[in-house]
Amino acid sequence: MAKIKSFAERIADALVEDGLLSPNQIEELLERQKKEGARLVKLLIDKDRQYVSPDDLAVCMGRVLNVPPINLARINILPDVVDLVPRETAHNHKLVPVSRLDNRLFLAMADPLNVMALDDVKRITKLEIFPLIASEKAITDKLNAIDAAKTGSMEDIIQDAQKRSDAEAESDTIESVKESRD
Amino acid sequence: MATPTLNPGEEAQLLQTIEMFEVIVQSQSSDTQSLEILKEAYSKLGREDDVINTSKRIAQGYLQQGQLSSAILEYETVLQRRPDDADVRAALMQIEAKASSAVVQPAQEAVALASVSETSVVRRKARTAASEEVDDGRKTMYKIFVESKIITAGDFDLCWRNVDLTLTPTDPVEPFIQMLHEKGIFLIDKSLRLLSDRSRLAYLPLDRYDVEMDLARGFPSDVCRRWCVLPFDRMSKAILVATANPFNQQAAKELGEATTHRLLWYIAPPNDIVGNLRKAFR
Repeated sequence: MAKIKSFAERIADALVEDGLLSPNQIEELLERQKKEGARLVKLLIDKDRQYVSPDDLAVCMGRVLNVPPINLARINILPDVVDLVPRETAHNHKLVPVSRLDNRLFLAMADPLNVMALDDVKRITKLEIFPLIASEKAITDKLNAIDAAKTGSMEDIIQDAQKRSDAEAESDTIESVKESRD
Repeated sequence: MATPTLNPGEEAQLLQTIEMFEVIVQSQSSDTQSLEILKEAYSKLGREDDVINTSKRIAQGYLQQGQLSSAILEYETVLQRRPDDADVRAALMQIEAKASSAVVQPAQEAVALASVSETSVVRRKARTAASEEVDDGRKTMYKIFVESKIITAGDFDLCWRNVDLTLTPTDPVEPFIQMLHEKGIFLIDKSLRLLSDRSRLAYLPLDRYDVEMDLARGFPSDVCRRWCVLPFDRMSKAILVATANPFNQQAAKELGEATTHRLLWYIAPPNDIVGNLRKAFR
C-alpha cells in the first residue's frame, strides 16, 4: 500500500509542483527539520533563510487544504463587514472578515483549520463561514491598516468637531461684539 | 537530533533558559511560544526525549487553541523522529477527522465542477453546430435555475446567450445572471449566493478590489469579453480570475491556454467584471 503523505509533505509537493522549491531543497529542508525538530512551515519562511514568501506558502497551503487564497493588500473591506468580528477576536485568531453575501461570511484566516476560530466567528456573527487563506503577516498588516484608518478617521472627527466649535465660538464672539456695538 | 558542541558558558545559559521556561509552561500549559523556546533549548542540548515530549505539548497547545494545521505539522515532526509513536498517530487521526469537517470544501477550479461528457450530450440535442463542442456551463446553470424551479425554462432561454465563437466581441457579453436581474426575474445577490453555494467558489466584491489591469491586458481580449471573465490579480504562481458563470469550462480552457500559471476562480458581481473589462480593453 502506498504511504500516505504527511501534511508537510503535501505542502512541500505543492511548492515543488509550482516550481517554488526544488526537490533538492526539500531534501535539505527535511534534513534540517529532522535535526532541528522544527515544523516545515516555520523553516520555509524562516527570516534567516527564507525559501519561499509567506504568500507562496499561503497559496500552496490553500491548495492542499482546498481553501482559496486572498490578497488582502488589494482589497478595501467594507467597514460594516470588518465590524462583524470584534477586533480582539480577529487579532487573537489571526483572521479578517473580507466580504458578505447574504448569510455567508467570507473570512480570511491564517489557519483555515482553526476550528476554535471558526466556532467563535460563527457564534458571534450567526453567519455561515466560508474560509479563505492568507499569510499571518498579511492578516496582521491588514488589521493594523484597518485600525490605523479607524484611528485616523476618529482623529478627523475630533479635529472637525474642534474646528466647528472654534468657528462657533468665533461667531459667538463676533455676535457679542456686534451686540455690544449696537 | 543536533549533536551538542557547546562550551560550558553556552550550556549554562541554555540550562538557565530551560529552568525559567519550565516554570512558565507549568503555569501556562498552552503557551506554545514558550514551549517552542524550551524545545529549541532541549534540542541544542541533545535531550531527545525532552524534545519529543515538548513537541507533543506544543501540538496539544495548538489543538487547545483550535489551530489544527499547526498541531498536525508539530505532530508530524515527532513522527519524523519516531515513526511508530502510537499516541501521535492516534492524535493525528483524530485531528484529521476534525479538520475534514472544519473546512467548507470550496472547489478551486471551475473546470472541476461540471462533467464534460454530460454537458456535451445535452448540447448536442439543443444547440447549433458551431457551439456543439463548447461547454459553457449552460447545462449546470439550467439544472441550478430551472430544474430547482427557481425560474422557468422560458425565462432561462430568454436570458441565456448562446455565444457565437466565429465573432470577435467588441464589448463584454453580459452574463446570464445579470440578464436575469435586469429583466426582473431573479435578483443578482440571490444568484451570486446560489452560485457560490453550488460551485463552492469564494465571492469577491470587485468594486472594493484594486484590480491589476495590466494582468488582464496580458490575456486575449476576445476570450475575456466573450465569456465575461476577468483575470484580476496574481498570487504566487496563481492567477485569480473573476467570473459570474463558475461552470464555464470553455472559458477556463481558453484562458488556461493563454497562460502557464494556475487559474483560481472567484465569483464576482457581473457589473464589476464588465466595468473592469471595459477599462482594461478600451
